[in-house]
Amino acid sequence: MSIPVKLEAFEGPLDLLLHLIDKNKVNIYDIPIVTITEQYMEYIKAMEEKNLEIMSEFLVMAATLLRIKSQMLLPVEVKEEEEVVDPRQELVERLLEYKMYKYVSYELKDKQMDAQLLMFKPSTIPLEISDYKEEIDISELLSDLTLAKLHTIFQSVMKRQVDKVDPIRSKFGKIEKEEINLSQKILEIQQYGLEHRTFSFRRLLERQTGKMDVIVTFLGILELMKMQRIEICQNDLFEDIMIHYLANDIAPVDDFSIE
Amino acid sequence: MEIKKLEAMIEAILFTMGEAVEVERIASALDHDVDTIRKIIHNMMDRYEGDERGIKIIELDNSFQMCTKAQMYEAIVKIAHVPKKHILTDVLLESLSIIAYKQPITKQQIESIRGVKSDHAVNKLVEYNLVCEVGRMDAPGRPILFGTTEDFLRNFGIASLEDLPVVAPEKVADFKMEAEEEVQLQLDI
Repeated sequence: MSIPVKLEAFEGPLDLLLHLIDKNKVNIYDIPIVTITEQYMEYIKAMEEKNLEIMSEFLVMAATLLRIKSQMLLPVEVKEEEEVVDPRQELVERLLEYKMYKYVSYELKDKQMDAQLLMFKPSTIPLEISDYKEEIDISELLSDLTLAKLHTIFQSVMKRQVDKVDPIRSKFGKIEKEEINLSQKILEIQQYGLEHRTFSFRRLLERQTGKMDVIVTFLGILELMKMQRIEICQNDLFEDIMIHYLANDIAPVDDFSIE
Repeated sequence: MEIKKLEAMIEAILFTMGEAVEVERIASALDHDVDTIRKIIHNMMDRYEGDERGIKIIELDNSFQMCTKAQMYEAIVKIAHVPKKHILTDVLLESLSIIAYKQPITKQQIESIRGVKSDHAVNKLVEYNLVCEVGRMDAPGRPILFGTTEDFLRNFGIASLEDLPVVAPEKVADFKMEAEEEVQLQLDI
């Protein structure tokens, strides 16, 4: 026996089952599982469906039907105080729920047909209305503003600008290993000494471009004192130290470096 | 007199806006309380239903919108080239009705009711803006929960979810009766 319906007519296994139940005019609560299963299997055989996805859904239902069928054939052990659950019950509940939504979807279809007859109109608000902004009364806005106040505001804004710069992170850049060569620095100081003869220690330090530079310069000065190539004097406590370069040439220095 | 003025303003607002306007927005624009405005609009809706009017006001959730009456459709189609609207396929309608009644619902739950994969149907419904994501389920994988949109209400001429068609109670009663008989029979055996 073949079923003269195309697969496309069914939304899925539940749809097909409902169709078979209707066709056989049987009560949904008392599905003659043997008959329905047979017809269902017939249908699957007739299905020339290459799509595994769709096919598998129908096969899952077929397996369910077979399970129910076998459960109904087996004798049921009735224990005391235990309800006998009809193996078909779960399927029936699913079928009923599905049937209800199918019924409702037809109702919705009618409603949609009716609603499609209504026409709506897009918003038509002229630009000059939708873009309208209330005019601002400048004099009212500036009524209690004095120059002093403006200055204070300006100051605080500028301060905020400064505060916004994270004093630590802002100095983060590429971190490079600074390597300042002491002998190189000593040569530099000698060069500077030869040009200036007498110069200020502070001025020398100010010329340096980094903490490491300053330290190495200081070490270089100590080194040059040891070598007796410079002499230093300070007139008063905390005053600038003056350095006299004594030599008339630049002495080569042994190569050593600090990091 | 006061009410007449408010009605005129509401009419102008709804006409101009075209889209659905929340009752709160209308109330604040007219400087009146929401309940009063809602009553006035409901009154207007009744009067618009009369034969002398070609437009009416519909309610969607908490908003109101103006549109033409269904009876005007024929004439409008002749004068304007109305674009053909989508009529949903049965598959989409089936999924949509499940979402409408059971929202918020996951794709998985829709599939278990229909017994078939519903990815395509749900995606299409989202594309048509009849359905949207309304949250996530607190379960493994946090699956998306779907619900219906205001467009859905407008498309189906439903004022709110409470107005969804109800499955005829006599049908349900019939099922119940049959079920009880079944149980009786089983006990007799």
